[in-house]
Amino acid sequence: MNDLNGLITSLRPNTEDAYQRRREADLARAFATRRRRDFSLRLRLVAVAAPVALAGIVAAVALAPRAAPSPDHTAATDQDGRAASLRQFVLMSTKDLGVRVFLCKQDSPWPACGGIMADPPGKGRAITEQQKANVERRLGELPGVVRVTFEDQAGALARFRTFAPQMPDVGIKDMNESFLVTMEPGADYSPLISRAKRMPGVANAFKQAPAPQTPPLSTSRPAE
Amino acid sequence: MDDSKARLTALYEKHYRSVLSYVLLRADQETAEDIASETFVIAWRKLGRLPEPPLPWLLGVARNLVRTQRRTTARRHNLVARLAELAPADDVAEQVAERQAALTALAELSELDAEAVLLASWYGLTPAEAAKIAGCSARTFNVRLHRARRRLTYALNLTQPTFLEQS
Repeated sequence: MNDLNGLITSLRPNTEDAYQRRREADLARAFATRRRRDFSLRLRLVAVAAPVALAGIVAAVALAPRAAPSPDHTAATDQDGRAASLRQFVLMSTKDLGVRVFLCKQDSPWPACGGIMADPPGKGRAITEQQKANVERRLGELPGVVRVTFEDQAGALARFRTFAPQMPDVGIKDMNESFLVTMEPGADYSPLISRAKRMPGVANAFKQAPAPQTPPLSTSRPAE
Repeated sequence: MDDSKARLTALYEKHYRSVLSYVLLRADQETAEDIASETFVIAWRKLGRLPEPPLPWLLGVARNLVRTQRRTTARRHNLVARLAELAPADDVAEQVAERQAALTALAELSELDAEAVLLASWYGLTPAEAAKIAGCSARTFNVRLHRARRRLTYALNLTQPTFLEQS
């Protein structure tokens, strides 16, 4: 053997055993790790968007420049801005504080509705009338609850219109039905939220937040 | 299996052996395997942003992991000593002798020069790619590689080098 390259190459250690031994476990370990950030952000975006589904995404895109006026306009801050805008709408204050219980609609991405949060999200089933009646009754029986108010898609759209008048392309089909659960002053919301989330036909439940101190959408948000 | 899983699997199948063989020069078997494993976890996280070709990047990640590992364990492995330990067992006496001669010749080189030869021969990296992993300029890497090859050729009585200089 007078080939230097060949000789050096022959010194390369045997890695075949380790490859065979480690392959499966190494790959499983990698797959179990959270992927790159844009992927998880997309999931988060979907998670926040779900109650308003498509409308939320459209809204978020349109609102992003206002929500994230950072000069360093990276994709991440942009996405964060969208998510924040969405969250704000989802949790948007009504006059009453309480818990907003979103109901499954057709093709909802929430796992609770049998949907998938993949790309594209969807495939969930709508709540049945029977389930709706059960949710309303059971919510009303929970401790601390003063009132349960149903909001249909038209009501949600009206609320959305006041929130984001610049987005006429968002339609009624994009809206979720919901119950607003008004609670006694000082009541603990978290048990009700977790109970509500377990009810069949419920997509998700959020505490209605008071209007944020420094709303990023102050220029477009009408006075309530 | 979705696309990204298939991509990582392909990456692993193609490059695991290269990554491990490189790390084995710097760490014992168990640590080296863990570092190789970690390298592919990092590749998974950054799958959408991997450079092409990915091998130099993978080796660079592995090298950084080795450095971190070394700081914590405060152990140093002499490159050529590791090679001697790792050289595949072989029945053919002539090959054993040749390999021993090559190891002896490599041991005469500086560690950096030895590494330059290995990076070029084992992985077929371009000087620019290898330089990044070795942490020097492409020019410096070329100097090391050329010097190493000249000395090895001389030490091993290889009268006509059959490799081509890559610069």
